[in-house]
Amino acid sequence: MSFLRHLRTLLWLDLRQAWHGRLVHVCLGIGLVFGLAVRFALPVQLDLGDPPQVADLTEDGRFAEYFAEHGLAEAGAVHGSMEALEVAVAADPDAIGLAMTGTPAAPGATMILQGHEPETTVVALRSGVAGIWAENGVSRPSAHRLTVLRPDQPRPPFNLSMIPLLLTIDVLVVGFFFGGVMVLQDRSLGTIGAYRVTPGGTAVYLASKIVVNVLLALAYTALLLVIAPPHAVPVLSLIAVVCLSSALLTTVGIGVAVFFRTLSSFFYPASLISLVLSAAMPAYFFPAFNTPWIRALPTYQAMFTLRELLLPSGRPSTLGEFCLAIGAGLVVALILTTLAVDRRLLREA
Amino acid sequence: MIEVEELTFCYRGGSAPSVRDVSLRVPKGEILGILGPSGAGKSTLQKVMTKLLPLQQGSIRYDGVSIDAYGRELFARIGVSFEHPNLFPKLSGRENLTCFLGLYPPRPPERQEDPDALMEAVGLGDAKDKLAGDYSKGMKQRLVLLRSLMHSPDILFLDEPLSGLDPATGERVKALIDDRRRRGVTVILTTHNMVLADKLCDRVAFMHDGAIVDIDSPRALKLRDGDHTLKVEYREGGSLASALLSPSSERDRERLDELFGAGLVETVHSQEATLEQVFIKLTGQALR
Repeated sequence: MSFLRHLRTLLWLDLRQAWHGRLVHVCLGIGLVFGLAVRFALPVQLDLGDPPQVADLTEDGRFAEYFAEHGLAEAGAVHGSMEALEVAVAADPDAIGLAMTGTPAAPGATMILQGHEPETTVVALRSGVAGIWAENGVSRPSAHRLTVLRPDQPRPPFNLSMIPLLLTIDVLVVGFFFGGVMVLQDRSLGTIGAYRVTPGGTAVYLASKIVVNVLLALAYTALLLVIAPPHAVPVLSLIAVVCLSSALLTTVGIGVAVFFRTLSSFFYPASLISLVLSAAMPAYFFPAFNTPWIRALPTYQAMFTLRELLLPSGRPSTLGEFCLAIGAGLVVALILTTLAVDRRLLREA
Repeated sequence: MIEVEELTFCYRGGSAPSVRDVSLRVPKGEILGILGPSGAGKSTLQKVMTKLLPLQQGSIRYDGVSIDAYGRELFARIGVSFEHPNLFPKLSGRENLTCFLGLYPPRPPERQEDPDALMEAVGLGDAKDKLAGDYSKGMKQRLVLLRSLMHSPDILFLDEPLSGLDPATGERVKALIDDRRRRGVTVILTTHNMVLADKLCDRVAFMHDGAIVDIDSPRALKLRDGDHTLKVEYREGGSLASALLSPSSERDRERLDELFGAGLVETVHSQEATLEQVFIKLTGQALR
């Protein structure tokens, strides 16, 4: 009972400190900006750039209809001669040109590049040329095949697919950074000295900071999802993921911060740790980053568990595994951080 | 009753103990002043006594119970006031007094402190709702002192409670501390302020190089270890001169006889030794 009474006392104080320290404003501000970005600024589909400039220089002019069907003629990207094509490509530093040449018996193409394009663009363009010939009746063996595992599942719009990523960023910022900042604020004001000589102990101190940050993370999540609602919002599962992730990262943030005296000395190690935790983000876009150590990061696990919750792909749920893994990590982090707070913060050096 | 026996404390990596073989007995309701220059070990002694530093050697007992037997509930019995104000700047003065109260066990109504009355008592009545960050240094100092009283502790540890206060406000704070003593609160007061120690403390302990070199009431210390002097004003070549002469010195007595014999003496005032003089005599070092 006294633990709850102590927690209530400190929680009220920490919430007021978070409000006066503008942590609440920053958290909700980020939520608002990200929510508005998802809703209004991010495109539903990614526009991969301007269409290529093209010319049909084949003997039978067989691609005229094909180019029209793909909207190239309408976009003014079809040219009548190699010279005109070269002029058009030269006029736009990001443009590439493609002239289809030859006959069905001897198919060919000329690619016009600016010169700065990566090799992958050239390779892709070569494959594209073969594909265009094949689509237009010149049968050649094609290496391209597309297999869709769950063809009935709607593909999430690009803007909504960013929500799990943005929620993970929040958990990282609010949890890790804010946890550390709250401790260092107590240090710089000297109020930790005043707390040391009260009956409130380490557990209450830690619990209060964690609860404040979890509440902030939940407020941010709610704000973001109200502004930009995803496909599904399984409330209880979502709360579990956000609470566990935020609690874990807050605990780690506090555990690291107690080894530093000032915010400026905390900044560099905190940035380094944030960078490591952020290493999970590229894996969201490029599966090549999906290495075992990145998969072990709590941010990676949170991000993909949130994606499955909010934008279900039909895969089996990994929520149970997530809760077990993060829960175990939280227990370890709590034990270590409790020791660190007790030795480094609540006692004199 | 506070009992400290043969307490020694050495910081990790320290070449010599910061507190050496300190023994004290402080009965309930006494104000004990701990005096000494910076680095004498006063703060370290207070930190070990308030469990902020671990007990390495020796023993401390509060009402016969070893400090080792106490958990954090010890802090419900003691109140600690700091020299450097550590307040929440964005909370009002009154909120700073009450913000930690929920951490203490509930007190019976007759032992509950009224924050408004306390603030009035030390001249902060008009600043109750002002943000603590806007307080002057002296106001913050008073607020920190009041916060240490809010849970009605049995023992008070006060570090330089009059630091930064004007004489009139200092008198109000002294009256407040004296009032707590009358209610049976034991006060351990760490200070450089000789006047405060002399006026307020039942006993003072002089600390030097981590050890207590003497402990007694201010009066007894001054009588035992201080030199009484006479301030003599006399005529010399048409103008007025003055000299401090000690009756215990044969040479000074002869000089006094000489001045009286020549009829040159205009005024004579006796001067009692100060605690600072006693401290210098005992340690060979000034207090600051």
